Amino acid sequence: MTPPLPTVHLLDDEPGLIKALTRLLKAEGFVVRGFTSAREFLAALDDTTVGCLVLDVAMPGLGGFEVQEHLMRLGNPLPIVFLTGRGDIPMSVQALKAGAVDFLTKPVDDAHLLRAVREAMAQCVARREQASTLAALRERFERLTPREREVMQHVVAGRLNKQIAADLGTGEQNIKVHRGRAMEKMEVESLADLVRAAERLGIGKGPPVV
Amino acid sequence: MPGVTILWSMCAAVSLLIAGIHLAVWVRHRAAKSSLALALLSLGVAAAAGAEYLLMHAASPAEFAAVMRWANFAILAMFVGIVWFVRAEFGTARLALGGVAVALRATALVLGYFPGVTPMFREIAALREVAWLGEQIVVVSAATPAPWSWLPALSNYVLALFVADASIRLWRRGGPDDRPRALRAGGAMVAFILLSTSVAMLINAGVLRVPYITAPSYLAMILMLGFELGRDILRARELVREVRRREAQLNESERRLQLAGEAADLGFWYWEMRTGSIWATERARSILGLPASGELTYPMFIERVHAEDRAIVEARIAAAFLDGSGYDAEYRVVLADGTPRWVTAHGDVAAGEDGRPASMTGVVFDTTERRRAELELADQRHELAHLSRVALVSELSGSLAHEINQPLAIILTNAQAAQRFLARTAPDVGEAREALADIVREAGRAGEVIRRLRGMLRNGHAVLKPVDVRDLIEDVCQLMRRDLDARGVRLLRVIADGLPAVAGDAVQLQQVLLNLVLNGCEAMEGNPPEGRVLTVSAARSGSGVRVSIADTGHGLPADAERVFQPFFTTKPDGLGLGLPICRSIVKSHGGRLWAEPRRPASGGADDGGATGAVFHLELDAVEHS
Repeated sequence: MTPPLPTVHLLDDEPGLIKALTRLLKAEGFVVRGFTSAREFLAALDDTTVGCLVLDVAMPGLGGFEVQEHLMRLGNPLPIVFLTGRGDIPMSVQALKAGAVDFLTKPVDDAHLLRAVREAMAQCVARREQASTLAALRERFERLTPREREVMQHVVAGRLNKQIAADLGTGEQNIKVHRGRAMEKMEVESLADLVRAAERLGIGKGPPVV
Repeated sequence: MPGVTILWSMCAAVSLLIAGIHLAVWVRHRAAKSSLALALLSLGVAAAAGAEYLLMHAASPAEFAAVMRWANFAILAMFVGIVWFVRAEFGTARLALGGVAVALRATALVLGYFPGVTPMFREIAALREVAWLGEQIVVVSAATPAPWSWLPALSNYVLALFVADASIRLWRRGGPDDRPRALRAGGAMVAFILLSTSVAMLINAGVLRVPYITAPSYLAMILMLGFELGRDILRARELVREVRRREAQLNESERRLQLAGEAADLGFWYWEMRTGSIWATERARSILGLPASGELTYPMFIERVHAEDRAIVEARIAAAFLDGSGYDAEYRVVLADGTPRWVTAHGDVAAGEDGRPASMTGVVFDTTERRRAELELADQRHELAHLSRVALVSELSGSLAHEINQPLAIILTNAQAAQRFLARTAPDVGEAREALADIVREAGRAGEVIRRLRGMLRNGHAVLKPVDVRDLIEDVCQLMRRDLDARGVRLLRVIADGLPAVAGDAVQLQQVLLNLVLNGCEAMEGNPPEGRVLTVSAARSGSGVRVSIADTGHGLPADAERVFQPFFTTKPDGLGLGLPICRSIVKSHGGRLWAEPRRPASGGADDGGATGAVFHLELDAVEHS
């Protein structure tokens, strides 16, 4: 099964608007899926869903903000562009604080909408990329032996080989070997790269990871 | 001292005087028959007194007998007088009985001429001189009584019986004057007749050796009767005075009536059928646009009545005279300068002596001002209804803005999509066309929303047209959709198939339904979200359609009618005019609007035994052509 294409999800209780937005976004080459109720949308949602969500604030049943909250609880990072019939400032502040990409008022100009959707899609890609890099690093880190991890933690903390050898009660040569293997397994060329990878993994701060 | 001469001549003189007086009364008032009868009776008494005087001074038995025979004519005259008087004065006499008495007396008189010397005696043998009342007079000392001497006595008794009978009947009739008269006149007559008869019998039987003294007792009788008649004459004078007084009173009360009429701005009129003449007060004349003075006739009146109202006024008047009932009419009068005036008239028909309607009395008043006020009030009510509609729309404005904004959003998006399809190097005309079709549809929808809104705000007068109840409910639900959603109210629609159209103004009926639906929503605000259910149903009801709006809210006050009273409200910022206005709208449609507590749905899952209210709206169906 091929992974799903990044899709613009439209959620609005007005079928006419869904149809018009679909038409506009498709003209710009987006893959679009429309939903007229929150329940329908949430049912179609799964881990592989990528893209963004254009979301109406006022809907019968589950409203836009509730859908946003729901998505956060599910841990789905789908970026959200809000669309509303009667928007006010407190409402837009609430939406943006909760991580929305934009808060647009109907009737919406196509340029604004497309800009917001593109940004949302970009955010999605960025988040995706971030997520996949981290996953790769983790995988590499998993391959290290406990000793190599220990040595790596000391290295990224900025300690010299001699100091590390003293701390761990072993020879400096030994430390050099562990350090070389860890860099090899983590697929980094320099100390700086190793430090950056450790930062991403959250290593080096707090107690050493065992 | 010649007592007898003085007494009997006085007796004769007084009797003559009374006869003269009553003869004079009769001459002036020929209808006073009892006066003539009394005059005759008095003449008889005077003659009898003269005869008795002669008897007492008779020189021989032959002379005595002759006088006695003549005296009987006087007595017969008295009989006729008494019978006549009783008949004329009492009105209760049995004439046959009186006739018998007169006939007996006449028979005795005739018998006295032929077989004997007098009706009493066959023969008078001797007279005797006696001293009486200081005078020498003669009395019969030896005589042979006639075998029919009982006849005069019998005639007297029959006469007494006749008077007594008439008196008793008069007593029984029991009018205010009857009883005293029966006692005084009847009693006096009976008593004096019996007295004189008894005395005469005792004299005839030789027990009493005194002269006949009929005249004084009869004089007493005629004095009594004269007094009785005199009372009548006095009473007549009193009556005249009383009539004058009453006339004065009547004038006074007429004047007061006039004053009251002026105060109340009423005009009075009286219409005599027989002569056709109409009398009317000044005010009535001015109200009806008739000349201030001079003769009035029906044609003059009817000519003033507005041509359109003439037929109905004439019909009402004819109907009133036909069955003798009252007359009520409200019509227009056209004044001389052409201005119309509204007039209300009431009349009562009075029957004449023959029991048939003879006249009509009534009032008339000017109702132009009241009419104008009524129209103004209707205008104000109309204005109020309009304002409440405006208020209703402003209450809905949020959702209405959305209703208009939504199609605009769709139109803009479709338009821009179309622009993009056409801007491509290879324009996608198909997609652009589809977008344009959607634009057209959405523009239509926006127009529809505005049309509905304009309809709601229109301040036009009601136009009754056939209205489809399903469309009506659908329209209202469309207008309310957003509000219902926002309030979390679930709307159920139960509309029967094949409902007839109702006669109404769609906009006004919409307003009523909107009000009822909004009220229902507001009543359920305190309910948990799942307990907010509004049911709009429509079904046939008799010859019309009943629309019911049932909520599950806080319910009605104990007296459900109170909610229709102006300024009754349960909302903190409510005016309390919505339902009264709804009701007045429904009434103007000839329909009914009422409220009742909702009966908990049998086994209703989501509302259990919750309270709530149902508003019923019943409207007549349009006759199908």
